Amino acid sequence: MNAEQLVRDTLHEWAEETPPPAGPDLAGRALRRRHRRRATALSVGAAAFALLVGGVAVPVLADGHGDSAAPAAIQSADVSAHPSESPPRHLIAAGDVALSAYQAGRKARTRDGVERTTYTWYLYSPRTQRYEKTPWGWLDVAPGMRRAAVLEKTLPAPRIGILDMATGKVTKWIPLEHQAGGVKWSPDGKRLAVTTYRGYPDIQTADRARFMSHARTGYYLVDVDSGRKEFRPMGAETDNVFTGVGRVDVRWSRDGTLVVVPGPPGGAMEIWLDLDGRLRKAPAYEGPDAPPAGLSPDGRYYTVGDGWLATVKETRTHRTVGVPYGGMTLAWAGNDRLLRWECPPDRHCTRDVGERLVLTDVAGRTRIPLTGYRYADTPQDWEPLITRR
Amino acid sequence: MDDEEERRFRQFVAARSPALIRTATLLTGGDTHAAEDLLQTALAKAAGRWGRLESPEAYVRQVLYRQQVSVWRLLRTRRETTVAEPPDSPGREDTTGAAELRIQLRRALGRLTPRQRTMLVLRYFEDCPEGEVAELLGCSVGTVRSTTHRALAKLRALVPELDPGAVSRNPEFGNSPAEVWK
Repeated sequence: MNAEQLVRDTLHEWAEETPPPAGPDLAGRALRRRHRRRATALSVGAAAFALLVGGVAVPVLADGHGDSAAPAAIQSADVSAHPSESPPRHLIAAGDVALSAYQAGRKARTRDGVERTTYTWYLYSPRTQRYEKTPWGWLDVAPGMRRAAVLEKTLPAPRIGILDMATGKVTKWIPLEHQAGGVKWSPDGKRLAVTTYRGYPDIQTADRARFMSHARTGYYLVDVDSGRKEFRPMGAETDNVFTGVGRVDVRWSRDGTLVVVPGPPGGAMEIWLDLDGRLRKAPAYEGPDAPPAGLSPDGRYYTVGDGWLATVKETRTHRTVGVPYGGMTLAWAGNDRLLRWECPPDRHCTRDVGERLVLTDVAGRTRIPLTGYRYADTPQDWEPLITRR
Repeated sequence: MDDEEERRFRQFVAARSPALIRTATLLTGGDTHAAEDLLQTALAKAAGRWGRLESPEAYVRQVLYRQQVSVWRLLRTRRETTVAEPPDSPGREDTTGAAELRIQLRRALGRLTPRQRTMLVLRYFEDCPEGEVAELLGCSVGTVRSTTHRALAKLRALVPELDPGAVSRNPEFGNSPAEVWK
């Protein structure tokens, strides 16, 4: 007997042994579920959660509030979702990326013609398996989610702390001659790009003089293990050119060989420099119109952003894949899945209109909600930090 | 849905659910709870368009297959690409008996990706031609063919007795088209 015949026989035999549905009134339950499906805006609905039961995931049903068809949580080896939580309290993750931290409690106050935005950082704690409120003024989580770089309040801060996420303790302080307002880990988790500011960086003002007292002064490249650091002046006042307001942090290119300096003097939106400070061209698919997701890990797709919208295109043909526009893409969770904001169907896609993080396929047609919705100026307002885990 | 339609829907479920749950159970690799939930979801969809369905059973089956492959693609777990627990000591047990072989084969079927398993169910349980499978799942005939090949290769790797005399393969074998078992 060949393999195909054996498979055939096994499937038929297995099917014959399957008992009829155990639960009573299958039709009645299906009819009730239909009503719930109609009542909810969930794009995936019960089907996704039903399938998660398959021995690898535990959906926890919501406790009677709101949409009872939506589970409060999805846990599988690969996806951790909490569609009822905004801001999240438990780990949000899919594939090899996770929500490592988020800002919440954003408030804007104006004093002396300067609007200052303040917020609180919440960092994922492997110990409590929750996002915990932190005292830090700014932070970034290293790829691997074991260490975080932290800056003390009130920004700008005179030193950087390297935090062990397992214990919640700072294991090392790196002092700085120039005060820092922002920090970014390199993709290999060995170095930091630290942006320095003269004053509190998260401000807006129409008054040039007041802006200058807060403006960026440059950036450090820091080798974390050795503590070796190098400062590059990249100020806002060079050549007396006004370069914008507020936070303009330096960040890394995808491969970590370049840094991107946004809003430098001269009018360009951003410039790309190698680690010796030499001017370079922007890498393909990482220019100003590339949303954070960019090139897929296998290089087959790339994303193009337009405001709060993003489109997925095939690298080989440059053809759009799936729906032409969807919410902003934040990260690839593998070669064929994306983390992105889901826009409400009946509104223009923009920030703060009631969007939530979803996991989608490349085409953007199948969506799994990962978090609850966020809304501006409410306790449900938060800003995610996505990190490779 | 009016009373008459609801009565017909309930009749349909009563008559066809034993057969439908069998397919759902195969699709979920033997997980009866997941199978029942999957079926309930498909039935809920069918109820939503009950008056407009020419063939309710065909529709419910299509929903079963499509849900299984589309949603699982997103929620796939590492379990699908790595075999954490190989079948109980193959080669050391008496696996010559046909019953034992089928038990091993069931375990192996449970370890396929949902997409691979769905292809095998459609091809060898429902006896659908490749073209029909492609239409049902919204993919090309080539994809049906290659996925089926890969699924069979993985089964052979997990249950070497499936093909006596065949070279033993790593359970991970068959993940790229170039490695498809011929």
